[in-house]
Amino acid sequence: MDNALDVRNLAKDYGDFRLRDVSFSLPRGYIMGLIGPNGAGKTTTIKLILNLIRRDAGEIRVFGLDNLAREVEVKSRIGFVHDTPCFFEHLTLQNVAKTIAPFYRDWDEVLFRRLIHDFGLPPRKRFAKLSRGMKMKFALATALSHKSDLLILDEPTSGLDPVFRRDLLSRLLGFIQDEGKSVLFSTHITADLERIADFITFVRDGKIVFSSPKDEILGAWAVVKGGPEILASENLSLFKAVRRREFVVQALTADAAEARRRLGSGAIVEQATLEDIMFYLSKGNGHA
Amino acid sequence: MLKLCAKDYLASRWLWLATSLMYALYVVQPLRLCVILMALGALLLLANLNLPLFFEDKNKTETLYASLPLARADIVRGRYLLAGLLLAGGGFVIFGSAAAVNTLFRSPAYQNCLSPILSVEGVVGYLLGGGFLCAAFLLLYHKLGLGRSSLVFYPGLLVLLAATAGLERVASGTLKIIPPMVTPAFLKDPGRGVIAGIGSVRSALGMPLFSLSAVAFFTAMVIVSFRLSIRFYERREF
Repeated sequence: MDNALDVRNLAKDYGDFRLRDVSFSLPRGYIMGLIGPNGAGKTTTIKLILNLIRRDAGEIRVFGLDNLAREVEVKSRIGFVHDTPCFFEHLTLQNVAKTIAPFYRDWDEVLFRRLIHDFGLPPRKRFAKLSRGMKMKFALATALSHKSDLLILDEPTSGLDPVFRRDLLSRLLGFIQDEGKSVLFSTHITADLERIADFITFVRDGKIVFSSPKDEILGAWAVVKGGPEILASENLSLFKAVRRREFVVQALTADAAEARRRLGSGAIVEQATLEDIMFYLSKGNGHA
Repeated sequence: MLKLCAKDYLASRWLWLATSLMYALYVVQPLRLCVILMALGALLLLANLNLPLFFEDKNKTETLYASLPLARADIVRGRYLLAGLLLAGGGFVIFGSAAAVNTLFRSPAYQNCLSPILSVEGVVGYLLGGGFLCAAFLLLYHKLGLGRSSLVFYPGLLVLLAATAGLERVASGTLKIIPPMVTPAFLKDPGRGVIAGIGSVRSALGMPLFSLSAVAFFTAMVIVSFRLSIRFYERREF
């Protein structure tokens, strides 16, 4: 498959935190959600793609180009939003745009002005005077204004009101309608990903837990609820994580069909949401 | 690289204008001492160079520009070009205001102080001194970042001045290989003394060799600083 992004065996050691053997691929024309608890390695992965930090091992290819050897070419095809938008705070939005636009060959000033207008951003207002949500909207407007082929968004919906979040998600869906455009979207708000993502990559403690199509994940993963008897030794291999209460056991399985077959009417097997998966894998006691 | 300078211009233009106007206004007072104007000229240059770096540091925009389609080496090139433009602009303000005041107020109080600055030696001293300050500061900045480089640079300048004075003492007093420079006349206005020192080097070497040496010294300083800065900045993590 023709990939927008290929990450292979990526490693970064900070001493107190290590990103280990991270590999995933994002095909062209799709949206991938990057999820995981705080400090899992999502932002580190994004920084490595943008060459903001030096990798210790591995390889990153964007549209088949090495992100270090062809850095300028690669970055000219990427639109990015960092988790904290950093622009010159004392400048007006129109002047901030002037400090960015010249670096992009394909900067579309008309599109930028339209986005600023659509997002309700006052071009003559100083960046410092904007709320966090408005700052994020401005960062999104700049990321969308240079005809990038790959959007990399690090927590773009944090601080945004639900109305704009929905608007952004529909814009992202519109963005990938253009042939060959892709989005890598890191977020804690997994409901956003359930609406728009095609692939989900889950990172925990610097390692990839899974990277698969979303529908496959939501079809296969389930939360199993039952009495303590569901933890019989022959069933333990079914569960990725378990949470025990006094009389109830809740467990996460990656094989809902097999769980239904083995446990029958002795347990309730419910389709897991991405939030369930993130919650159980982060907080539940591991099994298997 | 001019694009990088243009964004610094947008970020710092009003404060650059303010520092330049303050300097030009300061020249109007009859100071009598060259050394004060020279120190103020150095401060003007360093302040103007620090302003865009300060805004970058304060707003954390280094992460933004490192994410744009630019190699790290391009960002470093942009900063050296900016330093060159500020050196030229600072020269315009320093020599322009000195020439204007010297012409407008034809009194000895001004001329004693301004005439040495407006000489060839004054211009060469400004370019070499200013070039050294920019090259040294940018080198430290790319290695240590703004906060730590400032902590090292300014005390480092004082140490360098003390070391130079000490070397002069050893060379002229103990070893007697050069004539003493730090005389009572020198101490009356070290600025005039330094310019006179440059004048004696010029007389000793002759104008062509003096010019060649100045250009070679300036180029070597900038190249060494620039190459090391690129190496340091390519290792920087955001």
